Amino acid sequence: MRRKPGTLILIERSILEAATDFARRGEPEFHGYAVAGEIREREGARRLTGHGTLYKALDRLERAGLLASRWEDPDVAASEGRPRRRLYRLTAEGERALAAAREREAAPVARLRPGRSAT
Amino acid sequence: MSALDLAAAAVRRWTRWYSAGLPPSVRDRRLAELESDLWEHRAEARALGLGERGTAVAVLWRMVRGMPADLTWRLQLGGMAMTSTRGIERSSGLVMLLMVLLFAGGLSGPGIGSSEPYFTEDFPALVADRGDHLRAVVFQFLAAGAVIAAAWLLYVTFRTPSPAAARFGGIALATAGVLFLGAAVAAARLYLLADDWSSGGVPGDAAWRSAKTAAEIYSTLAFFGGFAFLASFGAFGMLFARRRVLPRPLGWLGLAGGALAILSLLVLGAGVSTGWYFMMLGLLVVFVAFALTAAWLVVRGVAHPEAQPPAL
Repeated sequence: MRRKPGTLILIERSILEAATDFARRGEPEFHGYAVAGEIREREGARRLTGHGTLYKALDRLERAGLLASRWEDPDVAASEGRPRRRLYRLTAEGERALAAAREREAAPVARLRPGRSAT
Repeated sequence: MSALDLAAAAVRRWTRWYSAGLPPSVRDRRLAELESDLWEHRAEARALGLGERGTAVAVLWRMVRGMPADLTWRLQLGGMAMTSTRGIERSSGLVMLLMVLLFAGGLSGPGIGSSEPYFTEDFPALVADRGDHLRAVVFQFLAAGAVIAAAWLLYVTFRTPSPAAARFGGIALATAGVLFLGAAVAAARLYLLADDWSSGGVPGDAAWRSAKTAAEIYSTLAFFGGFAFLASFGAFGMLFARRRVLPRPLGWLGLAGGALAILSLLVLGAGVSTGWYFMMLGLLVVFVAFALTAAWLVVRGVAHPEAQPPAL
């Protein structure tokens, strides 16, 4: 089933929300496992997002221009004795897409208000 | 090699398999991201003082839950040109063989009955052998993942000679995989409850009752999963027997196993407990048929329809 262009599915929305949380905390770049952990915390979930679900969604968001990514400096990874991280950051387009998704979500509530106040 | 090393190795192997044939830059990136993810997962578990076995189950569970997304990602990038037709056939056979072996491992743990008096007899024995039960649970998770992967591969392998039978067989097998996955989750919960109960539990307490519920869920899901599994081989057996894409006796063997299993349902429905023997015999026959089909797919492959008389 094809979805409407410009809409975000749940996992994409969760990733973008997590990305804004990272940015708010002064960490504009994040890696895959970190975003899985952030989603678990934000949503009070018991488990981390599945590997395929997470990396497919990150790939899709990057192709759509909502995220950008780069490989971490290999020297940094080597100095910490771990594999290199792929670092993602939210783009301006990603911020706009998230704002639009939030607006769409809030819209039905706004339409209900006049009816509710009349009763 | 620890349980976590084995889980990480399974993730790497799976990633290498579904990314095979992609441009090196795309494939290497996915492999490197997964490598980093596995490292971070292990590091976090260590920092939080979590057990290796629990972390291994969590890693495998993440892999299994992500499998449908991995496969659709792969299809979007490379379509069915992922590998040659012969490569898909061989992969189908290998995954089916793996599935049979993993099922055998999944059955190796202590059995558990959900009805009385079996539960009262079996649960304390499971508590005593809960290490064996955990090993069986890991096999059950992997077997469920293999069933789902086999469903997709068998559909791709046989959809050309008979799209309807391949679709029905694939959906039935995927349904079986999902039900087995649910049963594995219930079995994992049973392990956690057995662990709780081992430290001073008494028959009839809260942990005991929760364990009984988990055993009931496990039995129900495993039963319906088994039924879907047999239905799938009924469809594939019919396809082999009618389309001559594989030796007909393989199809007949699968159909005979499925018929035995359905007969067992009727006998059980009539309240005759020996129906279980028919069910076990039916499953055994289907497993043999699966293993032989798998071996044939690996070694000889499918006779393609161009060489066949017109479709029936």
